[in-house]
Parts: sequence; structure tokens; C-alpha cells
Amino acid sequence: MSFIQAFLIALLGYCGARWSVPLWGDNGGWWTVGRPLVAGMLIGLILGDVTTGIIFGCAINSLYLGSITVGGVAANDINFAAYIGIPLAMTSGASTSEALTLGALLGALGVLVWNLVKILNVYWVHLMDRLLDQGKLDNAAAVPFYGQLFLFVFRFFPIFLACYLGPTFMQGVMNSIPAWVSAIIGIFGNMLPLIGFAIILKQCVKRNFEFIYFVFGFILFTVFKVSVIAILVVSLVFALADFRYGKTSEEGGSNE
Amino acid sequence: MSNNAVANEHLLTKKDVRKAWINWMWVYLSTQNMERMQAPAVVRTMYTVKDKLYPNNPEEQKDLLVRHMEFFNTEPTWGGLIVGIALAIEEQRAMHPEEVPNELVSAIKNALMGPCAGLFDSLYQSTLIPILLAIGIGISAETGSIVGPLVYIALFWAIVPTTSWFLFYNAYKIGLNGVNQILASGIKDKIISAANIVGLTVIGAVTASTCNVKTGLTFTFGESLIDVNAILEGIQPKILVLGMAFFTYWLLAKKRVSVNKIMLIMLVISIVGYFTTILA
Repeated sequence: MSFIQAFLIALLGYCGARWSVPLWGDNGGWWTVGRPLVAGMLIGLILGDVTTGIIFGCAINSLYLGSITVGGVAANDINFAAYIGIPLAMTSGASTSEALTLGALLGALGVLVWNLVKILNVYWVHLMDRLLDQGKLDNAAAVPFYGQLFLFVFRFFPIFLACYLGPTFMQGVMNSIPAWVSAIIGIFGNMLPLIGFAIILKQCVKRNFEFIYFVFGFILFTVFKVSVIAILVVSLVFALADFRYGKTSEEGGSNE
Repeated sequence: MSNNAVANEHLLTKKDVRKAWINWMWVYLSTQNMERMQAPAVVRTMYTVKDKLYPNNPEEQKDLLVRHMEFFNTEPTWGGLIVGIALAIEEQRAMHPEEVPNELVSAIKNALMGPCAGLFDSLYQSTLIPILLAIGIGISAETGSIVGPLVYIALFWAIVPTTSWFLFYNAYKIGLNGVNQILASGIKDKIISAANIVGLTVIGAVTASTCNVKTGLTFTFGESLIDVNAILEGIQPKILVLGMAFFTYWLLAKKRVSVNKIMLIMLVISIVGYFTTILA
């Protein structure tokens, strides 16, 4: 990968990290270019193969579909999974399930960076305290912008180095993998996204009968071969009916 | 009558509120930290209206910002409506310093940030975003078509910022009581219930499209070779995926196994499955 390509990917990677500011905060960042689905398209554009980029992006994104941060605590780091995982998988000619396995490993690793930056950022809060105390209001209010420094350092450089130096290394690794290991990674990678979906199920299912909706969607797709958009519309009809005619659960009202 | 006159007074215009909202949306997590979470962003938001609230009064301006340096954490995209309420309270405080105690804004923020995080985490992070992503992935997973990511981007930008502004501005306008009503009434449960139906159905479809579990088991009865996978597919396509999905859910939700341990379990299953040809 060329210097420029690695540089661009690392820059996008920083912009797509959670807490990043340049693309109007998390709106254009974390929730837009930060999604592996979108990252796959952008990385594909930079590396000249949009189709493969998007296919890898879809695979990695399905693993992290339900990965949310509760109270600011991340279970897995989607940023490195996308911005290191997708480029390395693309340049080393990996299969979809190999890309997914790589993404999962990087996701687990990236949580370290996530927590590190969050600890280091305490510095900026104390700086703001001091500046306000001294009456330097303009300066204090600018901290949320220049306080991005640590995030930038710990997102840009790991991604840049991994993308710039990684492909040769990765190609060596890919070439030395025996057939049986690839087969196992294939089985494993096809199973992995189930974790993402299980997290969603855990968050959404409050009453057991709601599983029927999950099975309903599964069957519409597998048996009736309906497109996802059509399935969305059908489910909206059911949701509307539930909202308009469903009874508010008196007994389960305040279970918090 | 005098109460009415008070209620209609305003220091902030809609434009000021919009500017505050844009700043909030811009930096809400920019210096996310272990100690006070989103406090710097609240300070930045208040900073944008300080000259309108306390013109030429550096001491009050400073107090305003210092007041908001305290811990704040909620779901920021939509739960940011709390900041809209805080804005309304600060406006009242600026107009009637004697009537509005300084503790009020802090009490309100503390009371609302938990419920708002709960409601909007489940609506936004766990329902809306996965649905939008699932649509994009559903379109592009097999073909790599550029339509999937573009549809996701279009839907996200059509829905999320507009909803955020709607909530923020209305929270500012109706203030505290209206929001409390929504949080307390059954509407919250009804919305979540309806959203769940869409979420679960779409997730079911995308599970089917992105995952694969197959068995390599074959038996020979006399002359004929029996392919177990073909038989299972005849009963219900991808039935093993469905089974494995419920197994994963059971581990995660019922047995409370951590995500990393589940990955290990899956790895072991894959290795054993491969060498016994149970999985292929």
C-alpha cells in the first residue's frame, strides 16, 4: 500500500472514531464513516476495489451490528476492526471469513486504546477547570476541539502504521496458512456475526414471545426469499398495528 | 396575567437555540473521559449563549460555565434534549435570578440523564442504527453493491439529525413538564414495543443473509449416500444457523457468558466440528 493510501485511510479512521470532531462530531464520524459498511466503501475507493471493500465491510459490520456502548463502556472496538481489518484483508487477498476473524481480533485489541484515551482525557477536564477559574472562557470553550489531540494520536498512528507496514507481513501470514486452518477460519467466521445478533436480541427481547418476530424475519428471507427492504415494510405494518391497537402493559409498566 | 407575560419573555431566539444544538452535536463526546464524561460539551453549549444570557457580565458568564462542569452522561444524540431543557432553565435563571435557584438545573440534569440514556440507548443505538445497517448490509453483503452504504448514509442523515433537533428544540420550548410526561406515560413502552417488532424482524432476515452453519455429515445406506445437510435444508433452510443463533443468545443472555468467551467457545466448536466433519 502506498504512503498516500495509508495516510488517507488513517485520516478517515481518525474521523470515524468515536468522539472524533472533524465531521461534525459523531454524526458524520462514528455513525457515518465509522460504520464498517461505509468504511468498506471508502477504503475500497482508496484502494481501487469498491466491491471487495463493501463485501468485507458488510461482514465486519454484521459482527458489530449490536455492539453498543453502554454508559461509555465499549465491548469491542469497531474502529480498528474496520480501518485496519478491511485494508489488511483486502491487500492480502483474504476471504470474507478471514477478514471477519481479523476484524474480531482487532476489535478486542482496540478496546485498550479506547480505555486509554478515556483516562488520558481527564487531563482536559482539569485544564478546563483551571481556565474557567482564571476567567479564560474562550480558551476553556475551545478545549473540546483541541482536546482531540490524544484521540488523534492513538487513532491515526496505529492505523497508518498497520496499513503502511502491515500488508507485506499479512501476505506472508496468509501464504503460510495451511488448508485445514483456512477451513476452520471459514466455519468460525461464518458463525461469528451471531454474537452481534445475540447482543441485539438480549437488548430487545423483553418477553419471550417476541422471538417470533426474529424467526419471522429469518423465514421471510430464507423460505420466501423476500428482500430486506420488503421485510422492513412488512415489519412496519406489524409495528403500526402494535402501536395503535396494542394495550399498554399495566403490569410491566415500571420494571426498572 | 403577569405570569403570562413572564412566560412569553425570551432572551434566546430560535437561531440561538439552533447554534447551541449544533455545538452540542459537534462536541458531545469530543473529550470523553472517565471523570466527568460529557461535561465539557455542556460547557461548550452554554458558552454559545453566554453573551445573550449575561451581556457584559463576565462574573455571571463564568459562573454559568462553572455550573456545568459537573458530571454529565446520557445518550447524547437524542438524549441531548436534556441540554435543551437546561438551556431553557438557564434562560429563566438569567431573567429571574431570585426565583430560579442555581441548583435547579443541576437537579434536572441529574434526574433526566439516566432515564433518557435508557430510553434513547434502546431506541437509537439498539434499534434504529442496527435496522439501518441491516438494510444496507442486506443489500450489499453478497454483491458488494455501492447501493447498500449509500442507502444507510441517506437514511441516517434523513432521520437522526432531524429527530435530534426536533427533540432538542421542543424540549427547550416545553421545558421540563412535557418531557417528564413522556418519560412517565405508557407512550415510552409502546414506542419501544413497536420499534422492537421492526428491529427483531429485520435482524432475523440479516442473520439469515450473513451467517452460515453447515454440517458435512454423510451416511451411506447400502448404495445410497445420505447428505444430512441437504435433509436439514429441506426442513427449513439454514436451520442450523437458527439453532446456533439461539444457542449464542442462551449463552450471552441466560448464562451471562462474556463476548470474548463466546468467541472462544465458537472457535472450539469450529475446530472440533471440522475434524469430526460435523461442521463444514
